[in-house]
Amino acid sequence: MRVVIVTLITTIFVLVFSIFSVYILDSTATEMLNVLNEIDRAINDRHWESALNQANILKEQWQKNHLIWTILLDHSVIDNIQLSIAHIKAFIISQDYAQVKAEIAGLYLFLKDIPENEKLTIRNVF
Amino acid sequence: MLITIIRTIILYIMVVFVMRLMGKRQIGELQPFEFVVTLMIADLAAVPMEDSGIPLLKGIIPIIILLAAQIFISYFSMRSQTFRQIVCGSPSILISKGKIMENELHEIRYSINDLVEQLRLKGYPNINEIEYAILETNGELSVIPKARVEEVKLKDINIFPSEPRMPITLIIDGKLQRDNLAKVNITKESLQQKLIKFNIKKPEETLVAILDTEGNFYAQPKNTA
Repeated sequence: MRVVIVTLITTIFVLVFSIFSVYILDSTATEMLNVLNEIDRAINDRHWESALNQANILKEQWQKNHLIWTILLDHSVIDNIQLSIAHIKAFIISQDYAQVKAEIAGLYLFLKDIPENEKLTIRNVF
Repeated sequence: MLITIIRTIILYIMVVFVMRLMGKRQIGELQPFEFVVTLMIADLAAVPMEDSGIPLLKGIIPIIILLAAQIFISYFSMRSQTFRQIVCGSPSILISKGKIMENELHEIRYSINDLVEQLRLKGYPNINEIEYAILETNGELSVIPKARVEEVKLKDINIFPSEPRMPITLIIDGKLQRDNLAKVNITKESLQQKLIKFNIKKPEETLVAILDTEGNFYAQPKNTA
């Protein structure tokens, strides 16, 4: 009976953690998407300095969220995001408009899709 | 590589712990749902072990959920006969009163060859010597032979020995089993007296010492060579 109770408590904990992890991914991704949008706006207006500041903010946010994302997601996804952020910063510094726009589009898709893929939906289950 | 080593150790400990919680059954005695869980747990542990790009949680969480499923199903199977019947099925009587139940064999897709093979493996080469044969829910075949071929029991020849006792281990690999010694009220001094009869000077030199089912003391010394 003790084993049944402990298992029940553990299962509830795992379920709560899973629901919470989806929420964490969603909220942290939204934060980074907001910053990414700011970078995109700055790039469109050719305000490279402002874009660089926002890129640094994005990098700081990523470093803050990096650990929890690594625990929850495949490491290849983490590597892709890190690479993308590094590319964005480099392209902003070199003021390469086309490349930075492409990289922003790619990172935008990653950050939007990852929390969606972790949600409990019919599409994700099947 | 070090990461792989650490992950392997973590997952191994996890799987051993889970198997331990699942209870004491041999592989051949597992119910279908238990067998499925055992297979799946092995696979789930292997994937993050091999690929360090996969988060450890993606192996650990499914294992925990499978363990929970197994424990809850076992618990409800114990509490409800109907539930048990749904999950485990019911035993099938393949031979009844010496007659092979053909319909039952067809129902469970069990051929006569399978039946005869299992009977041989159980030590009954002659099908006409079986009164009942039951295919249990775990796939084992239980056999009740006809009375004329049953082994002679002591009660058949009017011998009624005393009931056997639980064998008790008193020393294992030189270490005294103090709980067991207390259970049978044997002091260290009286144990030493008993050991002397087996040419053993002290408990530390003993490989094993037991009280057998008849209450007789037996000891074997360690290999000193």
